[in-house]
Amino acid sequence: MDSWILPLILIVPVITLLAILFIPKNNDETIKNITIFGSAISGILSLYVFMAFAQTRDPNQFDFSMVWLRNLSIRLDFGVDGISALMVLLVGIVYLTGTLISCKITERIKEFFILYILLIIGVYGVFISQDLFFFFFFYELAVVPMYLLIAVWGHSSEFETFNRTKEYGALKLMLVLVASSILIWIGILSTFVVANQNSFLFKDLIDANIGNDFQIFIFPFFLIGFGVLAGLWPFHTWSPDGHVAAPTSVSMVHAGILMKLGAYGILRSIEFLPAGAQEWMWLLLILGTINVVYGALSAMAQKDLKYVIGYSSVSHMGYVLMGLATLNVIGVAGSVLQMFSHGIMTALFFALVGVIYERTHSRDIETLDGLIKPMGIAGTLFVIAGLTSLGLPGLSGFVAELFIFIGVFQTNPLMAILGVIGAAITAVYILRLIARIFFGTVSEKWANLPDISKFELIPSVILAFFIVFMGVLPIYFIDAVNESVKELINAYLSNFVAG
Amino acid sequence: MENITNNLTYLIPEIIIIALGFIIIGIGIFTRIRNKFILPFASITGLIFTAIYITFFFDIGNIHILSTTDHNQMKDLFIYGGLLKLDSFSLLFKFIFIILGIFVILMSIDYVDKHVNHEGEFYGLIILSIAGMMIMSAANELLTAYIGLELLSFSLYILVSLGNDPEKTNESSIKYILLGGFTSALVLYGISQIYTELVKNDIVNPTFFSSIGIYATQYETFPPLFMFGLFLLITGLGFKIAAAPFHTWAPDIYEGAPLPIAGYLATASKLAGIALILRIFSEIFEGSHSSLVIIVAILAILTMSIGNITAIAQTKYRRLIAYSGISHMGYILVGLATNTVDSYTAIILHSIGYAFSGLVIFGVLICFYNQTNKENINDLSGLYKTNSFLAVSITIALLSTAGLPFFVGFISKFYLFLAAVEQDLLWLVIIALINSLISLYYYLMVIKEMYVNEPDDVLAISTNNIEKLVLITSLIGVIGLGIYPDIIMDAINSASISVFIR
Repeated sequence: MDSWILPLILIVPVITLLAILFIPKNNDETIKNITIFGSAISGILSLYVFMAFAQTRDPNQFDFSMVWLRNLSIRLDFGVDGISALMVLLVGIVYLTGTLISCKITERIKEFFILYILLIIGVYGVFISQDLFFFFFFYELAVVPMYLLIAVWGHSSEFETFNRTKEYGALKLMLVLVASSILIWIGILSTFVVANQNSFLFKDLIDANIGNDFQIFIFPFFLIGFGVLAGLWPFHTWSPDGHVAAPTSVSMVHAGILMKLGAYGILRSIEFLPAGAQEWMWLLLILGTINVVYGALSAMAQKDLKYVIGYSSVSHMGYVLMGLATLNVIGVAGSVLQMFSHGIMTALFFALVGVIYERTHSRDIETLDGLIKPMGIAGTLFVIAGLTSLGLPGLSGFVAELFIFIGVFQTNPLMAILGVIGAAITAVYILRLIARIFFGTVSEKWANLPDISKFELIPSVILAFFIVFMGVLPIYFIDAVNESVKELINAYLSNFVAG
Repeated sequence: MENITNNLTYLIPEIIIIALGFIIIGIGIFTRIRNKFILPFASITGLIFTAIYITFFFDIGNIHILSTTDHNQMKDLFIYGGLLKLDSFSLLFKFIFIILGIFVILMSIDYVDKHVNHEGEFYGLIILSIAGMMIMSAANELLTAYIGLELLSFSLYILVSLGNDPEKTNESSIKYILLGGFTSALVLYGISQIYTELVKNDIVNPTFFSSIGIYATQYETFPPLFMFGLFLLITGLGFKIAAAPFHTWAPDIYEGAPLPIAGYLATASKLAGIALILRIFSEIFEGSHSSLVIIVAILAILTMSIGNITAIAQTKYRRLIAYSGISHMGYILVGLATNTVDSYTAIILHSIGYAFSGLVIFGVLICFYNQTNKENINDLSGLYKTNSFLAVSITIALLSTAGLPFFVGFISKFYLFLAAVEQDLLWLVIIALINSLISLYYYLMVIKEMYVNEPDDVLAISTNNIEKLVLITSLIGVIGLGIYPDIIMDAINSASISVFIR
């Protein structure tokens, strides 16, 4: 039974997608119900995968394998360890909540959900694939629907001096991501050839003991290729533009999950290119630190609410990258926790920004004020997300960032100090933002806004629950992740002991 | 010659098809049929019959198109003293040509009814050209190949001129016949050079591909005369598949020819060229000739880059598709420069995927053109609103040609590039990848036109059942092969082994 769980995680969205495909266009209610039902099943399956893993911590319990293309010995090989199990849970949560949030959409809802589910299939696939080919297959698949999702259902934004149309955001995102995947193509093709194992499986590539010179040559391709998706400075500009142009639920998936694919990709390439990773990690550490500080400063300068959150994502992804760059257990574990924490938190942020925009039709920080009065629940949830973002103890962000800073201090204290400064800047802009738009006197035109509705409340509360749960009981998550991270780092270190 | 009757049974598919072609032309000329369905359905019945015959009843030893064949047990069949070679390669390609012919005829029905005056000739010549392509894929010798090539080309010269709008068709048909005739002459001249060179070296059967192989192994660098002949041959074949710098005819001819014929040129005719190229080059590359690899690689770079960069500037969809098709031949040439069994497998897979997505693209454009008579890319605006099925179909096909996953384009490109990297051609692959990115840009522009922009007229565009059938079947090809390519890998493997290893 257990070996079918992971294929099932892919099959359930596929069935949902096919079901929607055959429902006539104007049955909006049926389409919504089926998608919600399907995403709920996916959510439960994801939760099951994570909890079952947390119980046994046996990385082989869900293994599934079948031959896909004999010629190239490509295998459809699924499996999870602690890291990917946590990511699967993240996808499950964001998928379900994003679906609920999307029920507000009125225009072309059938097509929206088809593309949205396609995106979800892609991200699920990346996290459960144990085969480099399929990892990349699903990675590219997740990029495909983004263009239409943003260009059709997104919002253009207008500023005093310039405009950003949704088509611009969509095109930029798509072209940058596909351009970065050229680097990954090169990396994968040459790694396969050099490893000479006639297999794309991660474990075979790890066993191949690829030569050091080649590793050092090829690792930057993976680092930059995946790094672009993780919002690595200076290739991050597609990300705020894309987030802002995207409709709410797509922003949630995009910032919440899609950017994690990049970090996860770097993590996986450390496994089979240890020497390359060791050689290049200084670069990732520096760029990651720049991400944190630069992202936070840019967020502080924004006037558009969604751009603030967009840049805060860039800043927070910087912590993830810094954690990865430490290559010690505590730093990498913190980075994985941060991926989860930031995924949930930013999804909540974008959900609430969607709620606010829906009612006020404005994302301008200057014009919004006192919103806590008409929108008490939404405001409270926003404050929770904000406090997570600045790393308040008791909420999920604290544990993750603490781990990362400890890890970075062990390798490079200077960068750690810069990172902490970045965290301080985060506190400044988040508190200022909250004070500006939620507190103070409420202006007349906002005074009678309706508060959050049922379909917005349920997903927001689910997200907030996980933030608090992880903040209060971090040990549950840490235990699940720690062992896999230890294994990864030990395998990484053993390369140098032997060599 | 004593077993000419024996050999004749091996030619039954070709004989059926040629007879069918003449019957259809005859019916078209000598009867006054007013129903637009009779001729195409008669043609399709004949073609389906032949396809079934090839698949299930064509007994040539133990070679079978659908089965796994261990190459060690496979014995290729030479007929007519070796003029034709029946192996799994030719069988596979014959099958593909017939299928493509069926699809193109199905797509043509409405178009022919509206825009073409000579139905009988139209369908009959398509069928005759299929026979030409079948001979090309089975040819084992230069002159036989040339005959097949000419049968195909002459049918196409007429087909290109069959539209009833002389303003458009005249230019393109004259251009095509002049350029085509010229390159034909070059090919013939090239063959004569090669022949002379081989005779000088006392090689028996001097026009046979295998003799060229024997000749090629004798030399480290080819003598100039042979090189010259080879160059002319490459020119002719490059013209056929529209590889740069012999590509300039393609956009003009696509623009003026009847749209289904443009589709036919873009899919079937190019595949026939590829089949012949694979046959010849597998022999020429027998000895490792790095200078030839460089020439093919340069052609590949030119073809990809010129195709893609020029495509960005196009405003008419026929020209856009023409240039995108040109760039695809560049990817095929990357595989050719690689020259391994794997790369041949990848080329065949890529061509099949390309043909399927080409069918979808042209199927959609034919539907669109039949009802609107519009030719610009921005006329496609809002197609999603006027007919969502057409918009979704062409989007899938475009994304597949751009090489994105779920569709056959991804795995075939991956295979092709992997084969190239295995032969240390990473630099060529990088150029190809950058080209894929460029192509994605102009495909996205088309997609944006269809989904984001509003339609000019709110007039709904309809699709009839035949068009739906064609599109859905080809889409199943595009998506099905993308999800599980293994189902046709047996056929492709044995085809590439039989052409490469012999």
